[in-house]
Amino acid sequence: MPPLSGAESGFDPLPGDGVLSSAYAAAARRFHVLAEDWLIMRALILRSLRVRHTGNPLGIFVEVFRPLAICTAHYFYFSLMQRSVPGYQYAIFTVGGFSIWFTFQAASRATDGAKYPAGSHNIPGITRMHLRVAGALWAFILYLFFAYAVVYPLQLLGQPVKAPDLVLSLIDYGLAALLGFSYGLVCAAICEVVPPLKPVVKLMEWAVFISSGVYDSLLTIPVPVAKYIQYNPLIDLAEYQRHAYYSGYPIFIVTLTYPAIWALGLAFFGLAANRALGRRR
Amino acid sequence: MIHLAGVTMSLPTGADTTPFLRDITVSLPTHLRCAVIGGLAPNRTHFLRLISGKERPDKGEVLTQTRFSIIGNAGSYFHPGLTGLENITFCARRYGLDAWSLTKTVIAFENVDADWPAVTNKLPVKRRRAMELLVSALLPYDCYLLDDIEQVPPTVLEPLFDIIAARQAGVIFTARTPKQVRQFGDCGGVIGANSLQLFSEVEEALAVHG
Repeated sequence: MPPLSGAESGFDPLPGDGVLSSAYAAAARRFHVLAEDWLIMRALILRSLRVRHTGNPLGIFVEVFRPLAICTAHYFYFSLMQRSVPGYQYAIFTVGGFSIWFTFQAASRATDGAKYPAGSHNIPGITRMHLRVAGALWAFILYLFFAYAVVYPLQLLGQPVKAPDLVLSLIDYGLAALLGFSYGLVCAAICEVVPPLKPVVKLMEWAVFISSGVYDSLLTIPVPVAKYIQYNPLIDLAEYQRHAYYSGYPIFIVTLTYPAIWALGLAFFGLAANRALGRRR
Repeated sequence: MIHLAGVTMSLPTGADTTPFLRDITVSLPTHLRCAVIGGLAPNRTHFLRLISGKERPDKGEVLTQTRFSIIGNAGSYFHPGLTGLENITFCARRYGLDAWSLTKTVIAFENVDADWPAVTNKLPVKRRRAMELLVSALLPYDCYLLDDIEQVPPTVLEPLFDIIAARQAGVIFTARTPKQVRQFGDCGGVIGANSLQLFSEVEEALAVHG
């Protein structure tokens, strides 16, 4: 491999000496950084799990109990009330909607979790952003796992549920995690700049939840309500995840482009605000 | 080497800021044992944070390719809710090292009280600090940073410098008393009057510091 920098030539290294000799060396350096970030993420996620579940006999499985309990309660509620959902597939409707919402919520709260780094950011290379990204990454992994883990118990209960489409699920949960992470960054920045807006931001989370498609499908709610709810990008993701479970689930009025644009736009503003505030701190 | 080029830095004091370094240009060796004395203790800590990249200067640039260690003795990095073993495992994972080998190496240093019961239980603050210092010395860096070495028990400090010497790495440490500076320093820097003066001999630095 060609030398990466002037540092290996034996001369006193200066940043100006770090001239990369080829595109290959640049790529190698880039992958080294990614590998380093991966080590950090893995270490942070595992440490965070260890801290949260030390002394708990059920260990890490506690993580799926809360979403499982909420989904079960809502499944019975929807089926008893005979709510109008496409295809009357209550299990798919509940799991698809709630798992997307939980991914979004956990990823958005990961940005708060970075307030309690327990000294890990004193280690060279670990920044608060690593803590935030690790939280969002864990939300993605956990709920992707959850989406598959619920299939077998549902089949045992006689539900006609199949494992969701992998590619679609990866895109759905990935976008939900990115959307949550970016939304969390923007909210954290707003609360830091204008602290009196904290209750408004909290209320906004409720508004996002109610309109996220966990209780309704765009196809079954009255048009005057759907006109407003359709602006929530989470409803598109929820509908697509239901479609990932059951290919007959209608998705002709939703798109993945819309939540993707929201996720990227919010990520841009959130990261810019975080950078600007980091300088100010 | 680490080069501070035209660095100006202020420190927050309540709602206001106090100038700490003003337009200094200096190069510090990162392959020697460099003692930094003078100024207030928090200023010395900020200086170490500045060269480690944890803080940015208001003006100027800090130029280096050296990989600096965790700043020993300036803030904890072990999670208090985890055992010594779990914390060592976290550090090993972060650097892609074998956690088991790192733990065994820590335990090999008996004089820091890092026996099996110590690593498999939650640690009291003093033991945790000692183990943090030892683990940071065992992790691979080019230059180690150590704050306020008078606070480190001699039973930990000596093996710490031995490990660093065995690695042929440098150390930049801050100290208050001439005794520690003479014992561990090859060269010295003096912080004072918004400046940093560097001397190739520690005795010169001590003479200027007074």
